Amino acid sequence: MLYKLMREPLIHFLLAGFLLFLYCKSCSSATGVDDEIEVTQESLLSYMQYQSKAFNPDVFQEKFEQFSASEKEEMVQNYLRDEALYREAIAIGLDQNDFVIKRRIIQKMEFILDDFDVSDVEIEADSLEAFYDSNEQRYFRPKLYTFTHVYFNSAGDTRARAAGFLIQHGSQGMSASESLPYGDRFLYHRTYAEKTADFLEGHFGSGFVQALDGLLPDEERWQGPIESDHGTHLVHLSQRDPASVPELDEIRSVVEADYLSHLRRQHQQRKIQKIVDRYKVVEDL
Amino acid sequence: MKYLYFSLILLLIAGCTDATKTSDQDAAQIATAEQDRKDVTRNENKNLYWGDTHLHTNYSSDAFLFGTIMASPDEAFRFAKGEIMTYPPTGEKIQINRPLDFLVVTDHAEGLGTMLKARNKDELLMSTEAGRRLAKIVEGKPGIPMFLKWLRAKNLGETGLTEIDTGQVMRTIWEEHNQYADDHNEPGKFSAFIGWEWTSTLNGNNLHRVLFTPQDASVADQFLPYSATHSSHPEDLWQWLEETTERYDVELVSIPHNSNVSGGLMFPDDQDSKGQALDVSYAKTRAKWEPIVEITQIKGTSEAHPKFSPTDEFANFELWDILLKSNGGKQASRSNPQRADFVRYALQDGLKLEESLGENPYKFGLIGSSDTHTALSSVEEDNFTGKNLMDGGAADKSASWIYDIKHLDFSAAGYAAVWAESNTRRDIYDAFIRKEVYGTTGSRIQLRVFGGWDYSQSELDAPDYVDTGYQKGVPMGSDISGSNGKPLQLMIHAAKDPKGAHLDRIQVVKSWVDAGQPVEKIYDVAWSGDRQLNAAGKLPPVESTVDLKTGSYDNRTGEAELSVIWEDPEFIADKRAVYYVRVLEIPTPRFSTLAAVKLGEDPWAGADPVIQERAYSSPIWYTP
Repeated sequence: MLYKLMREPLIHFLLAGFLLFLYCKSCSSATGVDDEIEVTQESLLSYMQYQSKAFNPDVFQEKFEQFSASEKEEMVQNYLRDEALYREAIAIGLDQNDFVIKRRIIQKMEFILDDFDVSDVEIEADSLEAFYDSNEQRYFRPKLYTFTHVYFNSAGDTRARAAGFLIQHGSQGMSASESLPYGDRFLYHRTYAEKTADFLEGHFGSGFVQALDGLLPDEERWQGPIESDHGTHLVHLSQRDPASVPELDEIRSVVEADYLSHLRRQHQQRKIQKIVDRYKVVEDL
Repeated sequence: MKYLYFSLILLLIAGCTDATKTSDQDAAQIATAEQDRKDVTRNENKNLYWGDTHLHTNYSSDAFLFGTIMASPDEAFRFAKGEIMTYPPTGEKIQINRPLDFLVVTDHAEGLGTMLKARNKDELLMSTEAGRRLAKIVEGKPGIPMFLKWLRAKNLGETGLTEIDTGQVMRTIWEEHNQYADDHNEPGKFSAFIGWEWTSTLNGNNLHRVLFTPQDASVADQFLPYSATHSSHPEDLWQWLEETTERYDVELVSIPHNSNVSGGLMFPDDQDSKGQALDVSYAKTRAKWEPIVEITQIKGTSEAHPKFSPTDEFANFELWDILLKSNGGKQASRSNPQRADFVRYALQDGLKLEESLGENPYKFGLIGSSDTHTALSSVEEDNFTGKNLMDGGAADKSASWIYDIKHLDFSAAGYAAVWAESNTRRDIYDAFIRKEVYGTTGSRIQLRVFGGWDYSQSELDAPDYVDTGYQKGVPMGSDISGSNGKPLQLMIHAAKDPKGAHLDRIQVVKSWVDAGQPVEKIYDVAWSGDRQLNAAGKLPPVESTVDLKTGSYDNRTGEAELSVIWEDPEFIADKRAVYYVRVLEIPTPRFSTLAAVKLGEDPWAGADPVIQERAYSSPIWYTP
């Protein structure tokens, strides 16, 4: 959002105006108003974008080029009018005590203070670990199951059909997609990726999930048969991730990103505090 | 020397501005919606995702006034993802039974976020006359009196919405609002969308729409949300969509809701909201921007009405007839239902208009969503946090909300179900556009529908029936033609909510036009048990297992799974027709009954003690 602010011509105007104001104050010239207004295509493009509260240079460039001579002239006149009034207003201090301007300038200041360059930061292992330790609960993961199953409904000789599949394909590492045409249609899914026990209990019943806990993950082998609320299943259990807070190494990039944004906020907060501290506070509540 | 100093500063600023501009533009181009699915596994046969495209937080003026002060979009996303939250009125811990896969926070664009800012005496807002007036209104304790005070000011035009909605304050708020969605979006895990509600109420008649985009804040920040302050006419909204999507390269979809209280204005068959006769350009424009309609939500269903569908024994279901206007008395203004208020008749009139205009304005898919004003999307009967923060507790549910409207008049509904390749903004949004979505009244019934000409029973029974479904036909939400003398088939598969009740039946609702008159017919096509159709061709009701004393039910009736290949017995090859599928659960206790049981009371009068939750598929359109 702050990057966005930076694109806004209003910010450019305000900041330039603010600096101009400071400058005029410091040089205490007679009128304080710069009496030369330069009209360039760039300034007009900025002006157009601000007018329509939309910021897309290419679109406006195109629009500008399509303007007729009279439309261009009208645009220039409007621009001159606004620019002259703006400068006069600044000169007589109308920007003082205006909360809209005040808020915008504060936002700008916050933006400038948010100058924490992440590319410069060497993350120290110790600090990252300390951050990870104190924010552990943020990374908690429940137990997750990843498997494909072949389902046999209770019609026909279920056990024999399951046994037949095991004999033919049980240990040949048949992939999940190859197994799709086998067995009967299951009412939900064939493959479950990183699903929780709670989710699976809805689809299979709790007995199935308990049985699943009794198997060891195996990339090659089809296991079972195990029973669900709906029938009999052979399972290709490729992964079972225990409930855990993942090791730092596993999610290092995520933690690093969180840590950097933490540093960034801290950094900005410190800079703001420094500025606040420079002021003598006179309380009169 | 002074000049030099000044120029240097300007140079510095110019330099840093330009650099930022370039890198920011690059970033904006990279951060397109396509990008967010690049590392995500996609399933060409589509996975089922559950979400809510209609939810309000403290950024909505009315939600705020009803007491949703603490719950921002951040809380809304956290709750939807399954985090445990504190329920503000009681301090109780609450949690959704099952997390959602996606959420669109759609706060009212009118005065978006300004209550919050007024309450906090935001300097920027307080610098406006309108802001100072708002601050007066929101002093004290939120509730009905505060809401009415605001409504009065609004009706008198004293809230200064025009000034606010188009001003600099709104830009800041809109950017804040969008940031929440970007922060919560996790490709592959949870899709958080940027959206809003356009709240047009023409003379108390509801013409509301929610809008959302698959893109991120860098795109959405470029415009301000179109509000009813700009115009109350949907035709103007579509015009704005035309211009805005073109100008900023943004994708947007508009979803009408609560047509049930639109005073006959939501789905007109003669003239638009400005009195112009409908023409081909109206039909094209509408179909382009509004490919989806919300059929069920907390303020009732908009499917059909017994007045117009007297032979549909399930049409008298969770109806809502309260208009958004005061008649000056102590009673709510109630609507006189009209055909143009309901989805089924719009689908019929769409066929009629297609014949006369050459285009169908009402070629839309169907979803459910909540429209909750609590930021908490839980429309589960046993975990319904209510419409406002006034009806979360059991004791509150029998109380009056406003005038003679009671909290138990609300409906614990609904959700949007989406068949998409992955859980990313891009894939979910695309499913909305191709209408491969459906709506439920809150239950998570799984439903697949394919239209085709030569599906076989053995193909439906096969474990890879979905492959066949796509290969030999089209999924829900599609057009189909080319019958070659064969009748249309629908291949339908429904499975019960994995944690819910068994299924009672599958129905096909078919509509066509005969001699200029719309005709509808409802077929029972698959059902549980050994029930037989009676002489009138009706299937007897399924036995209820609900115990009204304990608020429990069991699954000894119904089936976990129903499926069928249905062949239209009255197929007319040279007539347009539209088909949608309705799946009914066995009866379960309604939320109001569960609340009464909790308090040790009998089910309350004024509401059905049981409910048959249901799913509505998006239609399939047959064109000769």
